Amino acid sequence: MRISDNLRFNLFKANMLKIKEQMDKTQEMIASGKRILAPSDDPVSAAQGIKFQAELSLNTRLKTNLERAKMLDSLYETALNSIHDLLSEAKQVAIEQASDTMEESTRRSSAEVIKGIIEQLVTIGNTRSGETYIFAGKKPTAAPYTLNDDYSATFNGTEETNSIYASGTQQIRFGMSGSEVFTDSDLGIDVFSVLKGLKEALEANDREGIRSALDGLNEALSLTEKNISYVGTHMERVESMLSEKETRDVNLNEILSELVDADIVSLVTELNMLSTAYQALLYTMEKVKDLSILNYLR
Amino acid sequence: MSVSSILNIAKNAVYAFQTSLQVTGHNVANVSTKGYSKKEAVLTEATPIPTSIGLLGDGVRVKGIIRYYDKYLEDMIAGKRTSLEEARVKQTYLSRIESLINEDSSGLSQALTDFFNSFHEMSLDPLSLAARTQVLLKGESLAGKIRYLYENLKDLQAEIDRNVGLEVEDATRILKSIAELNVKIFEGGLSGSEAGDYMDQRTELLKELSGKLKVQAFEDSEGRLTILTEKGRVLVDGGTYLPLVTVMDSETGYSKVGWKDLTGTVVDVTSEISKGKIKAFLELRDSALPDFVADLDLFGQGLVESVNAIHKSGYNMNGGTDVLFFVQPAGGYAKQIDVEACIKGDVRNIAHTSDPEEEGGNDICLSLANLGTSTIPALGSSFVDYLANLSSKIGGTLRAAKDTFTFEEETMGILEKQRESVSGVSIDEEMANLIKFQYAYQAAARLFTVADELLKSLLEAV
Repeated sequence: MRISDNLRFNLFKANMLKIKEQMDKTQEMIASGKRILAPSDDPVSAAQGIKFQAELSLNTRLKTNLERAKMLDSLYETALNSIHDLLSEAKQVAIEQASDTMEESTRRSSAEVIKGIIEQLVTIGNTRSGETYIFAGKKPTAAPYTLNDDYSATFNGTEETNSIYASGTQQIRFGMSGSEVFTDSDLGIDVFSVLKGLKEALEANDREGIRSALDGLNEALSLTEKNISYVGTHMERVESMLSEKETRDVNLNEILSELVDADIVSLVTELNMLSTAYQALLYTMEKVKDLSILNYLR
Repeated sequence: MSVSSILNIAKNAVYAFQTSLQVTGHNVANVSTKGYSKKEAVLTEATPIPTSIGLLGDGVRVKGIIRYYDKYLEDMIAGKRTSLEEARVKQTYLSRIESLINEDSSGLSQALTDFFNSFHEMSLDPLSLAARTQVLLKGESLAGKIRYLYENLKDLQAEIDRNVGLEVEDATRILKSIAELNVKIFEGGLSGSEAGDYMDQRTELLKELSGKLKVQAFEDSEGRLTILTEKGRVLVDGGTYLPLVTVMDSETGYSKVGWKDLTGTVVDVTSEISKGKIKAFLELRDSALPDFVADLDLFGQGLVESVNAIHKSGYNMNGGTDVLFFVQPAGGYAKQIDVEACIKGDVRNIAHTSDPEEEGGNDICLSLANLGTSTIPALGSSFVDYLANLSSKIGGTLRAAKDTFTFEEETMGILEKQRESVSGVSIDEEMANLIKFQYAYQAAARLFTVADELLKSLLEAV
């Protein structure tokens, strides 16, 4: 085969460009730390990368959801513990005043204590987190409890509460309504009317009334205990979901890294090999260039 | 047989080697000329002179100049050029489409997830104006990215359309040049270095033309090149050419390829072009790009319709209902997608509850957030999966185009190599020839001295 000068130079040029192109690509991969720079590098992995990236975003988002649920639960926990303390205090008063030895005047002054407890409970019922009344159900902008002149309390919220997504498909409750904290329609308990009854019995020096209020208070306490344990369970569930999300987060990052991240070590090795090849090419060209008849013609 | 015939031989030999030297010089000078074929002055023995002792040689003559040229190879290169250029254009422009659709630059799927995640945030506190503003901003950002991608794809389509025009214009320029060269070659005769150079130029032009569209070409007995389209429409015949022109398609606003016949009537030949650069541009403009635009449109439609359907059913902070989140576009979804003006004006208009009594309800937020992961009937998959498929579609198409291009380029490389080995100039070879002809020239010149001395001694003898 005749080798023309054009052919010799063109071959050299083509080989040089080929190596340079590979070097360029390798360098770009090293600089970006990514194996896939464009979908065409690996269409399937690129598509999977997009899906996993979206899942990662959602996962991060759901983690925020769960953290907020946890925060809200701790608010409920504090509120419920305070309710429990106040009810225990009321029970203490009721036990003391139910005794036959108590006089009308002490009972009347005890009624003032109960009034204070009712007022505090209304305040707790109107706890706010930011702009939101946390016991108001789905009417979070208005105070859910109003204290009437006769020390009864009216509930203005809703029984239903909102839910939020804890995973792609699963929803969890986000909030507790005052109606489940202070009343239980199945058992016929209403904390505020029990306390109101106690207050009125104390004022009326009605020992039987105080005794029956005591029964109501016991039921109210067990309702509150049930709610405290509900919040505790809910919180545990949220926490376990949160740790699931954390694990998923790590997993997804690993998967994504496997999919699109570059293996820097092997890339650097490859770059070294390419640069050796490039030097070798230049060296041979240098040699071949000298092999011309012109060097021998004088 | 006389001394003067020796002088004659010397004269012819000097002339012949001078020609050879000139052709060698021409070869060396054109060592880097694209499309040049090595020439050679063919020397032949002169017709012998009958003498009493038989036929006696009469020196050398230049028979003509030949080109080192393999017609079959050149035809193959011209044909290969058609598929190579087509593959090159496809690769280049599909890369452009890829760089637009690529998540790293479009950010479409990130914007999409951000948008649906903003409904999650809103579900935590449906009445928070800050969360609502985020929903608006993410919605606007997503709509903006869709519109931007649409505009970019449309711009690319317009650019490709301009390229169709330029290529057609250039093809006509080549047709004109080939017709002119036909005349020069016909007038110059088939032999001679000049005609050979014209032929080289014409071969190069034919290759260039073949890159643009598939043609059939053949030489007539006078060396003139006739060029036909693949469907047999005459483009060049002798010294005349019939131009290719662009015709505006009033329906699409894009150019069609026309062929002007002898009477000046323009015939639409767009559908007759099956290969080459022009075909690649036409295909990208009329099939690949509209396809991606349609995919984007469907995505926009799925988004607008599914979000609106839920949003419309809900109540907002102003007590209103039946409010759309995205504008229901009159034309293309991708082109016009945008958030409703009333929501831009007041984020309280974003619906959050299905029950107006429950002013703090968040069920609409939840349904909207859930859209981010659910299957959208119009798309047949979730939004993210749809975008991932779109990305793998362009990735796969481009990869195939790149493979084709690499293959075509390599085959072309082999053919070019073969061509170079037939027609290319080797300096070493030319130098060797140069020395050979130089010595021969010197020897022939020496013959003059010998003849001169012979004549001198004859004259002195008188």
